Amino acid sequence: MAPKTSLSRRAMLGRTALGFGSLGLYSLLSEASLLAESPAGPLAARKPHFAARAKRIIFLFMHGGVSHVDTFDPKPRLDQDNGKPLPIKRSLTFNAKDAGGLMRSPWTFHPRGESGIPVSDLFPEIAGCADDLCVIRSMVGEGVDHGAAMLQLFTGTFSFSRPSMGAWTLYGLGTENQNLPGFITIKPTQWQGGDKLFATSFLPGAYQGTPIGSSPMKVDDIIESPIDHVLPSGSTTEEQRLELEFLRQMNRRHADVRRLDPDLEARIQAFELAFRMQAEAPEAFDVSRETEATRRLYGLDQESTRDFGWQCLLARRLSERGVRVVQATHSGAEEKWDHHSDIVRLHPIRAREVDRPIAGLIKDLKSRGLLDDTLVVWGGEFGRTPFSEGADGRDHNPYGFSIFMAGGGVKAGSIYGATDEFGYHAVEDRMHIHDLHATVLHLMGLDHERLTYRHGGRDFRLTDVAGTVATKILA
Amino acid sequence: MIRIQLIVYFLLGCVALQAAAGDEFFETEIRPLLHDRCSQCHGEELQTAGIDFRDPATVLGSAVVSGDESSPLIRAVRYESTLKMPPDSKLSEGEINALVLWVRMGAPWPGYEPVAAETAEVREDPVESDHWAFQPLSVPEVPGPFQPGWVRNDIDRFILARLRASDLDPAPRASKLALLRRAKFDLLGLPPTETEIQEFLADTDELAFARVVEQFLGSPHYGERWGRHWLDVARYADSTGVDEDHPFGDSWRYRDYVVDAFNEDLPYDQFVREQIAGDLLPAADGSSINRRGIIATGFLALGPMALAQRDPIQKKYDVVDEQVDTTSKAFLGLTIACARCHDHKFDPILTSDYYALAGIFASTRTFDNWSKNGSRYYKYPLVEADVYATYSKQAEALGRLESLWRIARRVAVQRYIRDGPGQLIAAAMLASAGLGPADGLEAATVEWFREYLAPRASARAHLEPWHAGEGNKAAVAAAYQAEFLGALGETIERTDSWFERALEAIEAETEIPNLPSQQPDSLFYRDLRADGAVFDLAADTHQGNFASRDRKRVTGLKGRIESAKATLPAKPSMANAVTEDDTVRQRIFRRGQHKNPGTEVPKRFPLVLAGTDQPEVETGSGRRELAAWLGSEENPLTARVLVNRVWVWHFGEGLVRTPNNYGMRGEPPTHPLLLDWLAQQFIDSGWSIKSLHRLIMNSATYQMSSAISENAYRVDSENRLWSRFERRRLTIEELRDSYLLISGRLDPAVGGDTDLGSGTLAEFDRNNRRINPDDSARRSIYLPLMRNKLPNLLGLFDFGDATTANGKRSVTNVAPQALYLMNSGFALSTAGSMAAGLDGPAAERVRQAYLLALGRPPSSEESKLAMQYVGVRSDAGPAWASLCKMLLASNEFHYVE
Repeated sequence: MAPKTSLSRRAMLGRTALGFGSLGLYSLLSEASLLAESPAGPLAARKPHFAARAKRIIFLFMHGGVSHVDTFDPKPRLDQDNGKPLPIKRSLTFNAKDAGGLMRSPWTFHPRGESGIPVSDLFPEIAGCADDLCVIRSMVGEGVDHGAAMLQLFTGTFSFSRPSMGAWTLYGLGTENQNLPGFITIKPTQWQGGDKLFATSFLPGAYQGTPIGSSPMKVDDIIESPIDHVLPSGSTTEEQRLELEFLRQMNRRHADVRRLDPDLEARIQAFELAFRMQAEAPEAFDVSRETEATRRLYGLDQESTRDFGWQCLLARRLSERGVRVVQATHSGAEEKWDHHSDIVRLHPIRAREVDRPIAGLIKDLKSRGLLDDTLVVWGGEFGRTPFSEGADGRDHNPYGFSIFMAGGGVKAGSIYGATDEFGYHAVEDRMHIHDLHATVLHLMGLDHERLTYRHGGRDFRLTDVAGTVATKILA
Repeated sequence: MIRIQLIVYFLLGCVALQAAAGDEFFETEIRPLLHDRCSQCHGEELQTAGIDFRDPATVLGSAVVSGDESSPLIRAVRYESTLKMPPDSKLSEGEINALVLWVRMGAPWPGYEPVAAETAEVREDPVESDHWAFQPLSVPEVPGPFQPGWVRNDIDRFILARLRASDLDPAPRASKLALLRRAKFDLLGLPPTETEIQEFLADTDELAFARVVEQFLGSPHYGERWGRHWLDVARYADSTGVDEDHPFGDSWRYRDYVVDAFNEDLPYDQFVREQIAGDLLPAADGSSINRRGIIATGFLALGPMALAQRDPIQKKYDVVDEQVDTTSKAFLGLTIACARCHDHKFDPILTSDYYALAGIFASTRTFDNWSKNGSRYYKYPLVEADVYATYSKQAEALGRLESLWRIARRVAVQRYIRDGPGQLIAAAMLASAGLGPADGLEAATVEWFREYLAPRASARAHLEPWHAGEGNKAAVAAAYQAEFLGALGETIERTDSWFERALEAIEAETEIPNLPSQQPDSLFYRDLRADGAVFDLAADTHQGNFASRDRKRVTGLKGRIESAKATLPAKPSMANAVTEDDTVRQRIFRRGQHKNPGTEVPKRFPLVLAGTDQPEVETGSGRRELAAWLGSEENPLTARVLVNRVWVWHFGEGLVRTPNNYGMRGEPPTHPLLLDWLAQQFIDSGWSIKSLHRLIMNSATYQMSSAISENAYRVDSENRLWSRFERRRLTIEELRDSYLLISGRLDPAVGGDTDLGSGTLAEFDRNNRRINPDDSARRSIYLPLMRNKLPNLLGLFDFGDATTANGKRSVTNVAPQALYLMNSGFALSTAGSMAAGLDGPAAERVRQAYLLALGRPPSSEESKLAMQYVGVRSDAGPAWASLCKMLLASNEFHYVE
């Protein structure tokens, strides 16, 4: 059954009224005010389909595509056959004309932690969290260009306009803190999908993600006013209380002579809620309240890690306060990880920007007891080719790549799936993006086949007509 | 070698082992063989005969029958059939044997699981359906008679008959004030002015309201309000969306076409035909090109398109799909696109119906060149062909000169570095380490090298010689300098020799050869030339340092550019539109996958609607025929769908409450007789939308109040029987435009080029900024709509996504909207301007504020409360602005009765 979303209070009231026709008008009215007093409306927290492993998601998105064969998926065959041509047929490639021979990884892999998960030297700090990770080495997508790959990762398809996975999650579960938006995306990109990556498409607008700045803005550009209009402007809090009281009385008089209209009631409640949001939001975004030690843990004390460190720390603060879905995008004026050339020089710069912040986030969530029911997902829109592009780059590779998850009911210290001996195609336990979505929803307590929305005569799902839950990774 | 392996495989008996071995055999023997010998004609570039050896679905079951040695492929490679493959030279015996063995093994192909044959082959037998929407329009009898009193026209008779049957009374007539506000927002999207209110209240004639409706229908702002409704259906936006979101540039012409069409009351059937095939219809003024018709096809051209998609066929057919989807939803209220992968799950729409329409759009040009990576959308010149040819020839010549000029400047800078500062690299390196004098060196340069050469945690192998070199640092530095100059010299040489050829090409008016751009291998060179590095030098600041031959070259080119510009004719107007393309014989794509083509289908319309006896599309794309069929009264859906849309836009809900879905899963009409009667009236009026407005707005049904009785609430809380007028919240356009009007800032200009706001709307510029609506005082219909970065304001108030046909906007009431109305700069400045315009003693100011915001004077109680409120606030100026802000934020303002 799809969750009832009480979107149209009027419609719901209608059903109630028809269902209980014998009740007097008085009970109808109390029904109306009862509904109206559930202030959250479409965002009210809802029960999952079954017991959830995770209550909230933090998705750390690496824009541009991290090279999996240089980070989480070591391939001895590339060392052996460095420079030799790829002996199998090349699949559709973004920049086919510059495709070169196989290219070994310039970085060394070591088994890390007790689990022995191999992580390359690019991520020394994340490597320290190896025993908390569930590394998935068999991701598969179809988008060969950034836009298609990102749309598929965030919405399930690049061919149609569809709701984002954050919007679906919010639609399914509502949110736990009505004084903050339920779905927040920190520094999203403005191109290659843009707002579509956190939009609602045909789902109601209430499920849309709230952006905090956008790439390539820096922390300092954002910190003053993270959410639009959330701070009282031109009046003090006391003055605003007076304003709202005046407005409430005016709206009340108006509604009193227009009975039985729950929409008018809903709008009155929206103002009350807005007032409470104003009180809570600035505190939630105020990272300066953290201890020096915590700030260091996320790398806020260093220039190179300050930006993404702030994003990760903010992600924790928001998750802690019950925000259902948080996305943090690592991007800039260009795709941060898209190294078609010069990968040897550029991948380490990008890795350094995120390594400490991500490790800091995992450690911090863990020490606060939040990691158990917070699902952290890390990844890019695709991996990179095992063969070179030009002299010293790697091209896009959606056919097999790595992501990792941590916390939220996944098997810690484990590896799932495998690519072929080159790291080109996922061959074992392939996890298509639909499967990833099915699995993430499952961890959140939602059955991806039951989370549906009727639009244009059809029941739509995040996973379209596909998706299998990867039960092997469940703790 | 191959023989030994064959024997090994023959010896393998175990089934499981065989499967694994089969996969391996395919990967080691078969895939490379197919790739090397066959993929030139059956691979990425070409898929001759639909066979693509990258895709097992095109091979297995057809060319290769599992286990069958007489499979077409085997006979072809043995040269046994008339088809001999590969045609140039026969495969070796070993290769043929490998293929035979593979077929005998059951043709294993790792990762491939054959899909069951789809049912969706061509069916041309009749499709019958008794679903109401597919039946011809009925000619219903008008119910009645009724006692005189409530009924004003025939619409009311249909409504009253149903109300009576449910023992419901219609609500009383709305107050004159409410009616005026309702009609003005409805037709013009703005609140009535004080003068309009006074005049209307003073006019006690029975026809006063009819006259006001007429007056509003004659306003040029009517088209802005109703055109915007249609733009929702046409998923209108100013950029491509999906991935790269490039601005269309000329999309506004289509927007203006729609506004004009409504203002002129263009007959709807013609409006339909023009949007599908306006470029193929004769111009009304007899000119050789139909400019207006061309622009109208923006309907097809302005959908979302994935410009970066690397699979060109996928790219093309995603656009075709979008065109099928929007066209069928907009005009037919059908979700035909559901049949892309399989027969429609609920409606009698076949996959062959889908591809029959897809073939029409596949033969229509929407991309400049769809098969090319990164192709733009097509642009249609709005001038005669020869005028455009002259222009584009000159413009291209100018473009060539300009790119040459840029390269000339680049090489000039490079030469300057080589002969000037590049000679001082070694000295600067030494000076930065304190090993040499800094005389004659710029301090900033030395400083840059000091930072660059300082040891860092991350390994930089190419700097190891410098860091390791204990002994002769001077020699090491010299080697680095030499490496840099060597790399630079090669680059310069390559550019210089290309330059000569490029100049010759310009003289000969041929294509300029590609500049071989090869990044030098030297990482040291790249570091020094990287963005922001020591040798990242701008041409502008170093012109004075150019060598004389460079200076001559650059100024020479500049002169030629100037004279080319002087003789260049004005850029012809262009339209984002479609035109005819090569005619495609469309095949069904099984499961929607173009790599899995099935049977060919002729271009035609859905059988359930148009029957089996359809004229053949003999030439062209078939759009002309499609336009004629859609814009015809033979089609039972066109008029029904439109009159229902108009009803939705007047009343908030339709007679069919799923205005984009008339299929089995859509809602059946609440008043089927009224729907057909209205459709018939509409056709009889010459498809006049303004006549439809008159009919509807002069009915008693439209003029009821929004008050709901207890009985009506109990029996019909959703108002499906229309016992009252449904209260509705203002749309975002109405909200913003009213704020602008009330604050005296609204710019009433109609139409024109996309308002740039503060963003750049340069085509193909990834760095387009989000448009800030506050930067414009134009009506909201003119705000540029970048699909992937719509102004936040629009999303906040349920605008929709401008990406799929939207027949009815949703309405949500959420806290961020309240925050906007309390704290946004727009709300504050509007309230400020409004307060500044108030004049006189406090009671008078309150009266003015209420009139401006709500179109009525305050009650004495309200007046008292407002004055109290202003008095409590210590600061008089802001207090009045605050009062205005709250009036504008009130439910009374935001709802139309």
